[in-house]
Amino acid sequence: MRKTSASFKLSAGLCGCLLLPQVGLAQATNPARAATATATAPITELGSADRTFLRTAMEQLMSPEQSGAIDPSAGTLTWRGRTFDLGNVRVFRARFERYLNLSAADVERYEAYRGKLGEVADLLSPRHQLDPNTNFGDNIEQAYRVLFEASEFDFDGGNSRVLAGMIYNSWRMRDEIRADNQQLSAWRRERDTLEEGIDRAGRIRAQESEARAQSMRREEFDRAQRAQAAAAGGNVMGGSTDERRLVRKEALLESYQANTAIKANVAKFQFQSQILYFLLQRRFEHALMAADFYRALFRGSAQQVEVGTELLAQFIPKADLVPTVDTLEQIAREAINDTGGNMEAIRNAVLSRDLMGALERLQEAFHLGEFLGPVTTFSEEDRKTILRLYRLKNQARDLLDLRDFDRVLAIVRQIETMTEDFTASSIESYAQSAMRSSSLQVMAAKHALASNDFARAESALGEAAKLWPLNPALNEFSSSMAQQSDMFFQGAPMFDSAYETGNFRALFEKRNELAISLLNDPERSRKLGEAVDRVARVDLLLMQARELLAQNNAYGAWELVAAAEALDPRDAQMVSLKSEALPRAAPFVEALRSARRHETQGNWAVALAHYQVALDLYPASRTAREGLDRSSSNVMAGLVPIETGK
Amino acid sequence: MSRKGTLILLAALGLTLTVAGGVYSLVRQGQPQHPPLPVQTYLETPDGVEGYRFSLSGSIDRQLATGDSKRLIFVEPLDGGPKVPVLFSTDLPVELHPGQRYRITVQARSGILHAQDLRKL
Repeated sequence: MRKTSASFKLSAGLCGCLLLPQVGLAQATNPARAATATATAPITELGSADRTFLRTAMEQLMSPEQSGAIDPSAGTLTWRGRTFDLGNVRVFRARFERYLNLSAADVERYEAYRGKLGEVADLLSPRHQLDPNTNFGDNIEQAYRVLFEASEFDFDGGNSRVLAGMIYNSWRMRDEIRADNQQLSAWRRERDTLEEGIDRAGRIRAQESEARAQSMRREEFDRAQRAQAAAAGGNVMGGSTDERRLVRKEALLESYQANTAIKANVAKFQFQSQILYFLLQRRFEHALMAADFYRALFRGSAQQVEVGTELLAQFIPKADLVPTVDTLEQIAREAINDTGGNMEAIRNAVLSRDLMGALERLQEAFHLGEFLGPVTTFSEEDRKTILRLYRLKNQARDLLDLRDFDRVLAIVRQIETMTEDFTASSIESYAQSAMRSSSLQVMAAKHALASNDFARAESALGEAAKLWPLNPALNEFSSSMAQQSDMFFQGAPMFDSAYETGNFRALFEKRNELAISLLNDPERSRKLGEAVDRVARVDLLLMQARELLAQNNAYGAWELVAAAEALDPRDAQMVSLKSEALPRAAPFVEALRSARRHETQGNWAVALAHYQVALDLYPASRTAREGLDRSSSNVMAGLVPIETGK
Repeated sequence: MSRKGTLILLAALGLTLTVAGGVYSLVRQGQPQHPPLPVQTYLETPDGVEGYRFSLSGSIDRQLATGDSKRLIFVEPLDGGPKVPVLFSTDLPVELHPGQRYRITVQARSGILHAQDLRKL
C-alpha cells in the first residue's frame, strides 16, 4: 500500500509539475500543481537572489510606464510633482504605438497653427490693457474670432471652438447679469418711492389723529380708529397697500440680487473648470489661451481658482498655496517648455544612436505633450527607428516575464546591435544563470528519482520549472517520467510477459524503467540483468556481423549471426540479419547444417567430413573447428575394438 | 599334323597362356580389388555403404586424433572430392605422412571408414 501511495504521488506530482507548466494550468490542490503555478509565478514568489536578478533585468527593459514617471496601477503620469490622469495605460501604450506609426505632421502647417495661437496670446496680452490707444474689448473680440480660425487645424482637435463656446457663454451670462442689474436698479427706485410715500402718509395720519384726539373723548376715539382700520381693508394686522407693496418689493430685490450673484459665480467657475480641464487633458496651449481670456473677462478679484479642490490637491501638491489662474498658466508653460527640451534631446540621442534613452524620453514627452507641436512634428524616420526598438523591448519584457530565455537573449542581442546605450550582458548573465540552475535541478531530480527519493525529485523539478519553464530537459524528462510512472505500476507484469515469451529485446529496451520498477524484486531483477546481458552480447555479435558483411565476408558474418542465434533465437534483429546473410553464405551454411544433422544422428565421421568442407570454405571458422574437435573426439570415444578385416 | 608341329603348337599355347597369366597377374595387381568409395553417397547417406568395402585412392591430409592403437586421418580423394576421415590401425606396416598417396581398402562400419589395406601409389 505504501508503495502504491508513493507511486501515486510520483505519478501525479512529477508528471503534473512537468506537464502542466506547458499548458499553463495551475491547480492549487496538488503539490505538483502548486509547483506548476510557481512556474508562471510573479517575481515576488521567486527566491531573493532570483528576484534581484529578474528585477535588474526587468529594469533594463522597463519603459517609463513602469518607472516612477508613470504609475500603471493608478493610470497617472507624475511630472515635477504634478499628477496627470492618463486613463487606461494599456490604451495609452497603444496610442503611443499608433503615434510612432503615424506620419509626422506638416511642420509648416503646424507653424501656421502656432501663429494663430500666438495671435490670440498677443491680442490678450496685459500690455494692451495699459495702452490708452488700444481698445482692449476689441482685442478680446478679435482673439475670439481667431479661435475659430485655429479650430480649423487638425492639431487643434476642436478645443479652440470649445474655448470659444465658453467665452460666448461668459458673455451671455454677463449680458444677463447686466439686464438683472438694470432691473434691480428700477426696483430699487420703486422701493425708494414707496418708502417715501409711506413715510409721508404716516406723518399726515399722525397729525390728523392728534387733532381728533383733542376734540373727542377717549372711548369714541378708539371706536373711530377701529372703523377706519376696517374701512382700509379689513386687515387689522397689516399696514396700508403701499406698505405691503414695499414688503414684496424688498423680498424680490433680495432674491434677484442673490440670483445675479450666483450667475456671476457660475460663469467664473465654469471658466476655471475649463482651464483646469485643458490642463488635465494636457492641452497646455489651450489652457494658456483660456487663462488669457479669463484674465481679460473677469475682474482681478476673481483670479483665485475656486473649483476642483480635490483635483488641484493632486495637481498642486503644496496645497497650502492659494492656486490662481496664473498658477495653472505657469504649469502649462513649464510643460510646453519641458516637452520642447525633451524633443530636442531626443533628436540628438537618435543621431548618436542612444536609442534606448531616446525611447524613454520620447515616451515621457509623448505622455506629457502628446498634443504639442514638437511631438507631433517629430520626424517619421526617427519614429520608425524608435518603433522598432519599442516593439523589441516589449517583446523582450513579455518574454522575460515568461522566462523564455532563449528568445529573450536573441532579442536583447538584437537591441544591443541597434543601440549604443544598451548592454545585454546583465540580462544574458541572469538568463544563463537561470537556465543553468534549471538544468542542474533537472539533473538533481533524475538522481533523486534513481534513488527512489520522490519528494526530492518533485521538489527539484518544481524548482527547475520555476527557474526556466521552457527548459527542453523538462519536456524530455516529463515524457520519460510519464512512461516511468506507468512502468512503476506495470513493471512486473510487463517483465513477466516479455520474459515468458523470450522477448529479451523488449526487456533490454525498457531496462532502465524496469530496473527502477523491479528494485524491490531481486528475482526479477536478476533475470532482467541476465536478459539485458544476453541482448547486449547479441547486439555485439550482430554489430560485428554487419561489419563483416560490409567487408564481403558472408561466411564470417553468418558464423557471428549463428552465435547470436544461439544466445537468443527469437531476436528480431538477429533474424533480420540472418535472412540478409543467408543467400551470400549458402555453401558454408549448407556444410554446417549437414555437419550438425549428422552430428545429431551420431554419424560423427560424416559430420567430420562436412565440418571439414565448411572449414575449407572458411578456414577461420570457429564453428567448424569446434565441430571437428568435437566430432573427432566422439569418433574416437565411440570406437569398440574391432578386428581389422580383410 | 606332325608330332613336332603339335609340340610347337602346345609350347606356343603354353607360352601364350603363361604370358597371358603374367599379364593378367600384373594387370590385376595394379587395379583396385574393390569398387571406389562413393564419397558423396557416403557423406549424404552413410547407411547406404555400411558394411561394404571400397577402394579409396587419396593423399594423406592430416591426422585428426589418435588413441587406442587407432589414428583418425583425413584422406583427400585424388579425384578431388571432399576429404573423408579414415580410421587407420597402428598395426598397419606403413608410416603415414601428409601428402603421401595410397590406395586404401576401406570398410564402412558404424559410419566410420576403417582402413583395411593400403598400397602406396
